[in-house]
Amino acid sequence: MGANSASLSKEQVLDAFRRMRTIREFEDRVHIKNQSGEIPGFIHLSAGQEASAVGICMCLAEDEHITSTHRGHGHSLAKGCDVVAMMDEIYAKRSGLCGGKGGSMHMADLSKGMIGANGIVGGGVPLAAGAALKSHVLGLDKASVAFFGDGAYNEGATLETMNLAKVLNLPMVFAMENNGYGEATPADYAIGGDVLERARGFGLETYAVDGHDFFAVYDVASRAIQDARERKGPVLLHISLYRYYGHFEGDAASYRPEGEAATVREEKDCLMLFRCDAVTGGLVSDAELDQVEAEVTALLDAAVEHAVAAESPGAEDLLTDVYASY
Amino acid sequence: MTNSIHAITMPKLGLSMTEGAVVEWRVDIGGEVKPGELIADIETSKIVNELEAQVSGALRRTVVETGVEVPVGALIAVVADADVPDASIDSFISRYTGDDGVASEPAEAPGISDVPEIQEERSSSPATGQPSAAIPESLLGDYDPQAVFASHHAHKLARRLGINLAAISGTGRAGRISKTDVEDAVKVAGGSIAPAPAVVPKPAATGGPVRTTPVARRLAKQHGIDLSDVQPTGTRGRITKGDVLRFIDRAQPTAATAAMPATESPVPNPFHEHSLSPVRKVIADRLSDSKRTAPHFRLSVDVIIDKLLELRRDIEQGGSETRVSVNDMLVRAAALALAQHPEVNIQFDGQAVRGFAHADIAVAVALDEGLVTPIVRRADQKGLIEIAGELAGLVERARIGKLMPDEFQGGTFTLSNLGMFGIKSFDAIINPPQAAIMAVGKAERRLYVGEGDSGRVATFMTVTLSCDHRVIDGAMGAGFLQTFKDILHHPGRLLL
Amino acid sequence: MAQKSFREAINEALHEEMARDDTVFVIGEDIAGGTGGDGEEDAWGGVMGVTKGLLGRFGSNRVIDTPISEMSYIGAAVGAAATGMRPVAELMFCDFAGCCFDQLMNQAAKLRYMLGGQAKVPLVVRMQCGGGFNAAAQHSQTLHALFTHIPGLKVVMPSNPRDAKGLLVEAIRDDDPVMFMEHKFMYDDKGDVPDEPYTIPLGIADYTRDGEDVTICALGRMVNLSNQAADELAKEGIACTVVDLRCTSPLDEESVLESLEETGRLVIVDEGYPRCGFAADVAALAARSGFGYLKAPVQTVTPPHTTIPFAPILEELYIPDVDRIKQAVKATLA
Repeated sequence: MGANSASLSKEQVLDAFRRMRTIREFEDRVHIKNQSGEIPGFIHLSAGQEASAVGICMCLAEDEHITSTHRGHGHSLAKGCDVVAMMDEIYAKRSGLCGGKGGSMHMADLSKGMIGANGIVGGGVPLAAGAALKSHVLGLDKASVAFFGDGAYNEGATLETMNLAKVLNLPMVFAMENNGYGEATPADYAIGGDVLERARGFGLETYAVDGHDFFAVYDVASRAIQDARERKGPVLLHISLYRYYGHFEGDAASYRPEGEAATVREEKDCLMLFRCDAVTGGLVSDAELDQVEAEVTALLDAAVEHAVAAESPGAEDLLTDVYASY
Repeated sequence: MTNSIHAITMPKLGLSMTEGAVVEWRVDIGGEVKPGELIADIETSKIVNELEAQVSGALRRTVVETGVEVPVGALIAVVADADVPDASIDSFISRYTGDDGVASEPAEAPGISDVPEIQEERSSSPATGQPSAAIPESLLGDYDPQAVFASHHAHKLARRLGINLAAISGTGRAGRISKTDVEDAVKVAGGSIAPAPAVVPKPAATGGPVRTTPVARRLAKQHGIDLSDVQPTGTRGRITKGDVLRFIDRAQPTAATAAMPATESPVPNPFHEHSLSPVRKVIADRLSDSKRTAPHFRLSVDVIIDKLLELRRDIEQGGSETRVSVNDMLVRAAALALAQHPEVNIQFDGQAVRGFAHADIAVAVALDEGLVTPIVRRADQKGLIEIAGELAGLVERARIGKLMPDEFQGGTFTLSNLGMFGIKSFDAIINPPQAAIMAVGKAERRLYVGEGDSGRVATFMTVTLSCDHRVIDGAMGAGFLQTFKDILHHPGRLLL
Repeated sequence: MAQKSFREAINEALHEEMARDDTVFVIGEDIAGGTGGDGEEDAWGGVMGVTKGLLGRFGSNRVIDTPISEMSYIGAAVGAAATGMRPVAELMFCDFAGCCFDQLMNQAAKLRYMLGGQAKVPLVVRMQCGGGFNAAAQHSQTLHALFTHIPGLKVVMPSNPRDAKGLLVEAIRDDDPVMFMEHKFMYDDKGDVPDEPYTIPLGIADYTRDGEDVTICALGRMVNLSNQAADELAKEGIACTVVDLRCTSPLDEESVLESLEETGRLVIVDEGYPRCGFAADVAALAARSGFGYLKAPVQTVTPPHTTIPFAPILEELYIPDVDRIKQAVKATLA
């Protein structure tokens, strides 16, 4: 456990566990409910990647912005989006976070600094640079974080934005979550050259970190984000982690070797590692974490129940909000 | 002082008008005019219209004789203040026209002039018409056009009708007042703006201004007739000389009927009485005229249309964007048959027979307010797709009341199809000055005796031709009908 | 009133809005020109000199030169707009939309709707359009139809200096993303431009000529050609109304239909490609909502459906001209 994570209070540790546990529980529920046919649309789940989302977002103030990816439930929950409103959105209800007009791929709550999950690979990266540009123009000490995956690391939008961020010295962090597969294609195959060398070529500071280890992520992220705020230059974090489910719900993930997911779950699960480190380190007790788990389970029960019962949007909603003024 | 001298020029009353004549000056020399007051009646080959002043002043000089045609844009009169010296008027005229007193360059007018001081007088185009209107007092008044956000045409309408746009709220983008907003506001306040050009003559509002030809007005005055009682049939809803004469003819029997005591019924049957709509009156007049004067005879023939229907299916499956109906095919067939029988493709006005080179087929269309007969011109020269497209457009415009007069007036032959109402066969009344009309019944499967006396089934349609016996004899009608039937039995010919 | 060029009018609008509102900033390639080098600062002031002089007054934090990297800086402008700024990004040529179209089509245009009305994206993207400079296929297009096709984007194309200033000020203050298209042939056109700030609402057309025979609808430079055609036709006794739509989104349908009701004849002049284009769109409007007014088939005057050629003689054939407009007007009267 590094210097930064060692300074976390007990409340912060419990909060981190609660956020990670909420993401896991949320994704598992959506997985099941999707299989039962209750949920429309495309779903990409982030179970297994919780430590990265929470480890980074714990370092950000509410008015500091993030952008996310198509696999955005975890980042949204980590940044403070409301669980019930998110589940309502997944169920395409009017009370959803985006009024039922966005769905799984477009979770966003600007009041929480969450600019949005994004259906376009790499699409959110320039937007995060835009939030950093606001700090640049107005002289604010706020940083922004672009979450993106190993797939987006090969998108022009990402590469252009790394260059722009360096040229304008934008206060931003590029959080590249490498879960090993861009859709079905291994990242090793698709990324030419070395991940960190590429970012260094753009002049970025770089860190590699084990994305299963919340405390390691928190240590690196808090430093990177503080550096960005102080205009010491943009940073790339290479976060290695793993997604438990397929690329999308319905993907049998046969491109992965048999047993790969099971092995990671058994040996490197971020929640398991967290419990182990936190309890061994004497930060919290098993009973306290059990209590959090029970509360999260109850919350998700309530969220699903609410979403199922909630009202659908109507024809009157179809034409609204295309423009701010017509 | 030339600024207060105004040229009155021959107005362009319609896009095709190139020249016109003053038929009557409505103001004496020296008489005062104000904007909106009549100055003269103008006649073209098609219509007689009124020229209204748009400036005030005295009518100082008329430059053309009544009845003499002059080009559009030519100077016809001069309006000026009474104190403008005659010499100024003379020099104004000579500068305007050259010394011969007639404008020499029609292409320069209207609206364009080499004389900078001249303010052009122009009557509005009949395409939009001069809306007659009753504007509630609450909406009348001046306003500052700069201070009111309204569309160009809303301003224009307001100016024309003296409406205070500041009293009207806009529903358009950024709160802009549209022309529709103005019309709605007038309606809501209890007023009315008569819509621009009517498809059919509109009734003149009682007590309101009545449009008449000058001759009709004079005639009515001589006989002491209230023009608002006369049914107009002229172009653009004007009362013609003929309308007044007809009114005089009928005045006697109408009076007699009115004098008859109402018969009392032991058990009164409640009834609702309403006067005929203008469209209905026109239909009533024309058809009773036709039935009275044209001796009708009728010829019926059964046609087998299975091949025709098959061809239509082929066309449909061929992916044509335009839907071709059986009716469209009948129009084409009738036109082809008329081309072979020019003796049926005629008009007759009681005096002379006009034979036409092409078949202009009128098609009867039932609307809520009555029957209209839009015309497919030169149908013999048009393919099925073209006919179908054109007819669809005509019917659509008829439905929304936007048919132009030349789209339903004239025609050399009429087709009336009541098949869609399940009518087996019927005979129709000729639509004068045409001399024949074809009535088409429904398509139905019928058993008939085929070759070798065997019973067969085919799709039949009964067609009945009504002819005006004054100009078409039985054999002529029969010959035409035979050709028509032949074409339908060999529908491939429709594609030639 | 002061005579100013199209370029000066836009420059003035930017000066006024940047002075009025600290969240307004300009960003783009060579928007100053020379940033970071040892030569002259503000060397270009934009490739057409439109943003010249902003750097000295507002500094490099608000007049931002970017790498040649459209996806990143247009995207950053979208992100800045979504988080409370009012960026005016310059895309240099509208042809370069191809390099950043995802950020325009999938991000800027969609954020508001997709996020259930939470976001507003008060972004302006200024760009040149139009042919006539023999700049060939990739620097001469007029792609307003492409943007108009995307719900969520507003599209403006002014035809004169006065409108350019009033519409740009309005576009900057508008809470939606606005594609602001400036015809490259018109930067030196002069006209009356008030010194004080003023706005012209988006989606409100202007009648630049008024006549009762034929309605001509156009945008941008095509308005000027249409005015010229209308003036020449007036001498032949044909009176045209020229409707300068100013915006294709929102479109002032009312002004088109009210004029059409009066004239019954419609000609649409456009420099964009004909298929699924502006001319076809307005023709469809007439067919849909003004069918009863039409006395003749609608005529369109557009380039052919081909790429813009380089050879001057070919480009001249390609771009609509006054004669073609006059012919089309006469065709409605035939």
